[in-house]
Amino acid sequence: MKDEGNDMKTWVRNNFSLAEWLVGGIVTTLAVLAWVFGTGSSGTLSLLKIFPVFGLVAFGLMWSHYTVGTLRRWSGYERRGKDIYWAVSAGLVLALIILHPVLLNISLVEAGLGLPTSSYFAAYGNVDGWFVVLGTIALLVFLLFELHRWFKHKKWWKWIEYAQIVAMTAIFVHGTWLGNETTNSWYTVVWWGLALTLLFTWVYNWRYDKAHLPRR
Amino acid sequence: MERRNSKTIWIIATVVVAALLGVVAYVLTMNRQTASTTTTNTTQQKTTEQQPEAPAADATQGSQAVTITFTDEGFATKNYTVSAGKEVKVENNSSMQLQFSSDDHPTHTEETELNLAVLAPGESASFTPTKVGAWSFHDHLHDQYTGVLTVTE
Repeated sequence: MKDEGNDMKTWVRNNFSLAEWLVGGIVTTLAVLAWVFGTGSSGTLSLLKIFPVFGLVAFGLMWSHYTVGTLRRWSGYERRGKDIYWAVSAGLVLALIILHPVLLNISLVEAGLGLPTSSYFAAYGNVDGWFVVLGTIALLVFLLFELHRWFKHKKWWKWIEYAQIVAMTAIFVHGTWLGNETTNSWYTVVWWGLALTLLFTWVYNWRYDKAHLPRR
Repeated sequence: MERRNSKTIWIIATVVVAALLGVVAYVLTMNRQTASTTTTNTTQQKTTEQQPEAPAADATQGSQAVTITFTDEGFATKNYTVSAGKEVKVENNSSMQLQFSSDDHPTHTEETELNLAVLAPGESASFTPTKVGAWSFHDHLHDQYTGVLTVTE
């Protein structure tokens, strides 16, 4: 059993780039398939039918960042040079998390429901509207992470990283409450699987940091 | 080496973002075309109405009034066909509230004639579609429940 674990670690170490592209590729494919056979296949294609898939893929790719990071630590892989997967998927996530609400808001404005946040309540009602607002707050927190280029060495930066975890949780709640694929298709199992593994990676990384990093 | 990697990343990222924007532009264009086709259909219908001397062959064709039944498992049937001007009755036979609405969720602007007020369990309501086309609908309160109403001339 221990040998099998070591074999796996060695394989991941030797094929790390392949492993991260596989993880990202699989999670993206599952999200797209769930949408294609769900919202994407009902009625005429429109921005309101397209925008959910951007959210699904973005969540999956952000999940892959946590998972790949955990795999790296677990396998002891040391990177030489730039991580193309991380750079490409991070750029894609940024585009997707911006497009997801932008497409929704364009549709709501076109439908004469006005601007957010009142348009959210007009379209989704008094309860669901709050879950759209929750997604918007999480988006702002995700965008804050983009400041890491300038501030990641600051002492307070760890709070932005903690906020990302809260935002991921908020997005999970947002998607579970409002999403169609996340609650009414085979993707529900994948969705909850992503949440559980995400929780596992947070616990693993918290324990890893405690054991290996000096106190910040 | 690092510079080459950077270049590759930028090329891939640009292609991906361009592809995404392409999809959005394509959908916007398709929607505009659909909207213009719908307008044409409506105009043709109005023209037909303004010419009573034209043979009213299709008045006797097409489906009679239909009833769309909503249960706890969703709409009893996914596809319905009705002639323009015939009544469509929506029955809520489920144990939950129903808000029968035209697509898209949540704006309901595809064909506003389909939009009804909230129906309590056991309640029903009717509307009379006049615009020819295949109109997707859903329950606004449980948007996973969907169907298509085809309105013929």
